[in-house]
Amino acid sequence: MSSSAALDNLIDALCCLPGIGRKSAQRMALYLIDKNRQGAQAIAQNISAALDKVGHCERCRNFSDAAHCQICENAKRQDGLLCVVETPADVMAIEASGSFQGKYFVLLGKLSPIDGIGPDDLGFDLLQQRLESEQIDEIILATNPTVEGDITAQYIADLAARYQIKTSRIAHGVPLGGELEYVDSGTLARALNARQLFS
Amino acid sequence: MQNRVNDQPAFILHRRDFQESSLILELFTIDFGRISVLVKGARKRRDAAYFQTGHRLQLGWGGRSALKILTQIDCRPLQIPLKLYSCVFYVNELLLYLLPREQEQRDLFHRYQHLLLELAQHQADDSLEAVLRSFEMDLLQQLGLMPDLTMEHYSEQSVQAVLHYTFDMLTGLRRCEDGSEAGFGGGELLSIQQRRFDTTAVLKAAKRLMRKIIDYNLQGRTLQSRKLFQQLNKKP
Ligand SMILES: [Zn+2]
Repeated sequence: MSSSAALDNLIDALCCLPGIGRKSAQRMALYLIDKNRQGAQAIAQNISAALDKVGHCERCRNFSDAAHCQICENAKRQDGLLCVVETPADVMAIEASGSFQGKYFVLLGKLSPIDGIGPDDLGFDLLQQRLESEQIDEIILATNPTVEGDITAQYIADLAARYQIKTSRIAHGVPLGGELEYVDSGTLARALNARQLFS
Repeated sequence: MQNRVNDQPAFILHRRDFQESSLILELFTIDFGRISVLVKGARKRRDAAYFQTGHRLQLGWGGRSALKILTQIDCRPLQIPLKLYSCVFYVNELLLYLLPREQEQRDLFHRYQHLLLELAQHQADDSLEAVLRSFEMDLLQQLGLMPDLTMEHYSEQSVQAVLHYTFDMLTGLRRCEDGSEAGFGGGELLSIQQRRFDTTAVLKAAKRLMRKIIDYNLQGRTLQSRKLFQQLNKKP
């Protein structure tokens, strides 16, 4: 409880951030209000703008301001190479490695049988439409190397096989069980280059 | 439950992401049955690959609350073919629903371990149904939910191979006219009781019977894994 109700509310709100406890939230709030009001203004505006504008790309399901995201619209990137990942954070990790010039498909999850997360939740229909209507030469399955990620990859590989599309699995170098988001970019770049044909 | 446990044989029934990089594991352990543990930073750890369903683990944990904190992990990996994981998920979901919390289930633990070893060594598709039915029976038997298939419930007369019976959770086995579609042959029931799943007729009857008993004990909940794999296998 501070001297200001508005400040208390700000602290409460900051607590929703992952890894931020009450003490850190307090420090952040005091810094923004006391030391950096301009920065605080920028955060407030950007959060509000992002909430307003950011939706999902109709082609790849990644976050996007428009119907199609900047990566999908980028003519310099290869259309024939499609990398399937679980989360937008995985796209960021691969982009940071600078080793991939194709396009993405973001599942926004993985098959989780016991949680009832199935193909409908992961946009398999949309993916299938794209495999059907686009000229895709290769799919790189970059789901996480967990049991659920492997099963997801297997089903997408089966799907791709129906359209005679080559699939490969990001491999070797990504420590088994290590999630892409937490793998350093050098390792990730090597893993992408050393991908193996999926059987 | 004591405060600290070490070297406890365990399997992961379910894992779910928690906060940024942690996991909450639902475990089947040899001495404490089903428990939940939190693994801080699990998804960033070098041994992240251990935290998967289907591996034989030795775990340590501490804490008095319902959610323990993991302190130790060793792993003897099992290579279960990906295609057979539908069975693992199905069985895991059954255990999640039916196993009571923090209650020793040594025999069932060994049967579960045996099941995973069989899946890991499995070659062709044919005997899987029998393996699954057998485990379902183990599970129901250990939890005291498996009816006696050798005797009629009310009359207490022995089931006879040449006669026909209906089965209902409340009235148990009852003699009926043969040819009833929902019924079971006495011979089939006796084979199931002895786990002799030699013919497809017995396997089919066993599947129908076990489904009935399991669904009753799930008390209206649906098995997500069963639904999902049906959906995935159905797609053209
Ligand atoms: Zn896009």
